[in-house]
Amino acid sequence: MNQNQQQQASDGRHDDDAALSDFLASLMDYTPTIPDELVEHYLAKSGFQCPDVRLIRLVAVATQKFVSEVASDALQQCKARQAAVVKDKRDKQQKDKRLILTMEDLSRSLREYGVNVKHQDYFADSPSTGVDPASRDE
Amino acid sequence: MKAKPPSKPKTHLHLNQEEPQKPSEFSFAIARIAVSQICQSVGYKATQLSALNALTVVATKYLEAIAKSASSLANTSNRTQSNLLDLTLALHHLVTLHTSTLFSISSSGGGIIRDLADFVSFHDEIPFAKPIPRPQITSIPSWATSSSSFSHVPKWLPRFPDGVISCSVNERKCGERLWEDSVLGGGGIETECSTSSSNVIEQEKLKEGKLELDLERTEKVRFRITTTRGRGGGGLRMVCREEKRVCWNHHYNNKNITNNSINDDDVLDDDDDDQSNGIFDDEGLKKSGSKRKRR
Repeated sequence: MNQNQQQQASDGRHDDDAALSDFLASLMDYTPTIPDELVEHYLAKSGFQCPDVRLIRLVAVATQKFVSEVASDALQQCKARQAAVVKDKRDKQQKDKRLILTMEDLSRSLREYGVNVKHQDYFADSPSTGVDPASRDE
Repeated sequence: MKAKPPSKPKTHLHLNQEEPQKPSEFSFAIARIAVSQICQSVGYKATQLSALNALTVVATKYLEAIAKSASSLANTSNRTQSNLLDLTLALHHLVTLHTSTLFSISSSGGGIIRDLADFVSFHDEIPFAKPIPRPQITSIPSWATSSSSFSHVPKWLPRFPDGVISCSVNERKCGERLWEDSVLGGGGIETECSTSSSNVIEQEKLKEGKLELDLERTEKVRFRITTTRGRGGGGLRMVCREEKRVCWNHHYNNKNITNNSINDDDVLDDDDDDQSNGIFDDEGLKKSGSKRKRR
């Protein structure tokens, strides 16, 4: 029984190794959205040395996966928020349907990944901006 | 939801308008394009510029965190180049930071590369919008480019200047040579010191003089008991020189003591002369000896 388990484990490991080598070989043909040159630049900036293109693409894929996860989380936030709003105002549905990556959604989704994003909610050009025009005249 | 501001920034519009100057800004702009492409693939139609910038900063920090972790792991294994194992461990460290809790680390330990493989297989391939020109590398020529026979020199070191390798190491600026060359070349010490032969002769002279002096000293008095300058010969003072044979010239001393103070001064002056001339000056010693003999 124990031998069987070991056999299975070794088979599983063998399968994993084969899958890993297949995946690495497939990276040679895959072009990530983040270009190789950019990844190389940032890797070299941090002291990472590797002549293998596959590893560089692996880093690119990992980063791409991270970014797309964050973005899709933010998209879910955006959709949920819109679904809540749309119930009330049916007429504005078409206008609000546009999916826009906002700071609000992004900071919420990034908080789940351990990144705290603080942003200024509102900028004013001058002290009188946003004040009622009637009161400004006085 | 609030009504959108009239001048909502569109990513592709703004990116083309800006002309980044510094390399960091250039790389940041490229990263921003890539991130905006990813956002577009997720399903977004537009972004706020500040949100896109923040996401790009996070993405670049993520890249650098992976690279730092992988390179430090390689360095702890006494390597300069990272390999797949370092990268997997670095990804594991980073991914477990933001996805796993303590419970699920053990259960889904080695699935990071598998997740990446799934991501690659399930997502469409979106290449970067434009080809990026490779920067012209005009850095210091390294050993890797030069065909040299110095296999012990690491490749990341810059190349030596050409003049250093061509000229012999043994040739020095001031005409000096290495000690090995002078001995192995059969010259011996004489050739080594050929430039300063006069100095050698002087040294030899000094040696001979010293020898003569030593021979002479065996015959002559080196310790003298003389009277102090005080009158009456109350205290005796011993003028001590090198460690030599002690010889008591009773007659000379008695004569000195009985003499007056001028003679005492004379003796002391004599002694001072000897000291000032040094031990190698045998003529002065002879003079003093003859003086004493005369007395």
